[in-house]
Amino acid sequence: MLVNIKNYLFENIIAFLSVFLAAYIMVFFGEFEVAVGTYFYLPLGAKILMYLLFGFRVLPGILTACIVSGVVLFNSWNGNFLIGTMVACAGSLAPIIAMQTMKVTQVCDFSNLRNIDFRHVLFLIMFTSVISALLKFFLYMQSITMNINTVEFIAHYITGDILGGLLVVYLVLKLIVPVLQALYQEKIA
Amino acid sequence: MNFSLKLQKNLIAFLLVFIAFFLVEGMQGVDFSHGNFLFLPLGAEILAYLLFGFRVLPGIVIANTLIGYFLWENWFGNGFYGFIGHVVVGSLAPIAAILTMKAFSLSEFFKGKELDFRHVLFLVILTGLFNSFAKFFVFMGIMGQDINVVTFLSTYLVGDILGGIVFIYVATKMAPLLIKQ
Repeated sequence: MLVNIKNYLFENIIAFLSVFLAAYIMVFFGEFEVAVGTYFYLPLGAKILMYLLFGFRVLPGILTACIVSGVVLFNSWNGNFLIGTMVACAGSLAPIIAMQTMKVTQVCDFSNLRNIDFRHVLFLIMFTSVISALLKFFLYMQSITMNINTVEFIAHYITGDILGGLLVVYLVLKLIVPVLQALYQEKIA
Repeated sequence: MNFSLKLQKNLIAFLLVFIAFFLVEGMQGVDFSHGNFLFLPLGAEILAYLLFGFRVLPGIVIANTLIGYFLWENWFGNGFYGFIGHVVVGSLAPIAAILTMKAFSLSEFFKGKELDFRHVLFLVILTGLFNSFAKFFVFMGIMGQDINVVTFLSTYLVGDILGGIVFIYVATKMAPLLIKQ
C-alpha cells in the first residue's frame, strides 16, 4: 500500500517536473502570448509522453504543473486567472480525450507501450493538438476582456501544439532515451 | 474499370448526397453562419467514398454544386468562395480524413467484407474536425465574414459528427433489410 502511494507520488512529481520544465524552456527560448500562442508549445509533448509512460493517474501532477506554470511563467494568463485555470484543465484533459477516443473506437490502444506504432503517436499528437486548441478556443472566447483574432488564434495554437509536441517526443525518443541507454550500458559493463 | 460501372457508382454517390441534402433541407434548413445539427450529407459522402472509393468524387462534387447553386441560391450570395467552402472543402474533407487514417496505419475500415463501424465512427469524427476547421478558415480567413465564431464552430462540428454517424448507421442497418425485402 505504502509502496503504491510512493510510486503514485513519484510518478506525479516526475510528470509535474517534466511539464513545468517544458513550459520553462518554451518561455526561456521564446515568447508566449495567451491570445496568439507560440510556434513551439512544448508542454503538450511532455503531457503526452507522461500519459503514455505512466497512464492517466499522473493527471494531478500534470494539472498542477499547468496551473503553476500559468501563474508563474505566463503571468496568470495575463490576469485571466479563472479562465486560465479552466484552460489548464482543458489542456491536461485533451490528451486523455484523444487517447480515449482512439481506444473506444478501437483505432489504437496506448495501454501497452511495447505494441505502440510510432506513427500512432504522431497521429495522437496531431489529434490532441486539434482537441486542445478547440477546447482552449471555446474557453478563451468566454473572456470579455481578451481581444482574440479567432483565425490567428486557432491556426497558431494548432501549429504550435503540433510542432512542440513533435519536437519533444522526437528529442526524448531519439536523443535522451539512447543517451540514457548508453550510460546505463556503460555502468553495467 | 468499365465506364458504365464507374458512371453507375457516381450516380449512386450523387443520389446519396442529393437525398441527404433534401432531408436536411426538410428538417432544419442550412445557413452558412451556423451549421445544421444533423448534417446528413457528410455521412452520405463518407459512405460513398468507403463503398466505391475516391472515383466517385465527380458525382459528389456535382451533387454539392447543384445544391449550392440552385437550392442555396449561389451559396447564399457568396459565389466563388461559397463554392470553395462548400463544394471543394466539403467534398475533399472525407478524402483527407481517410488518407490520414491510412497514412498513419490506423484503419482499413473493412473487416473482411464487413464495414468496421467503430473505425468509421472515428473517421466521422476526424472528417467533422477537418470539415469544420477548413470551412472556418475559408469563411473567416478568406471571406472575413462577420459570424459568431463559437456558434459557427460548435454547430458545424456537432452537426457534422451527428449527421455522419446517424446517416451511416441508418444506411448500413436499413440497406440490408431493404435489399432482403
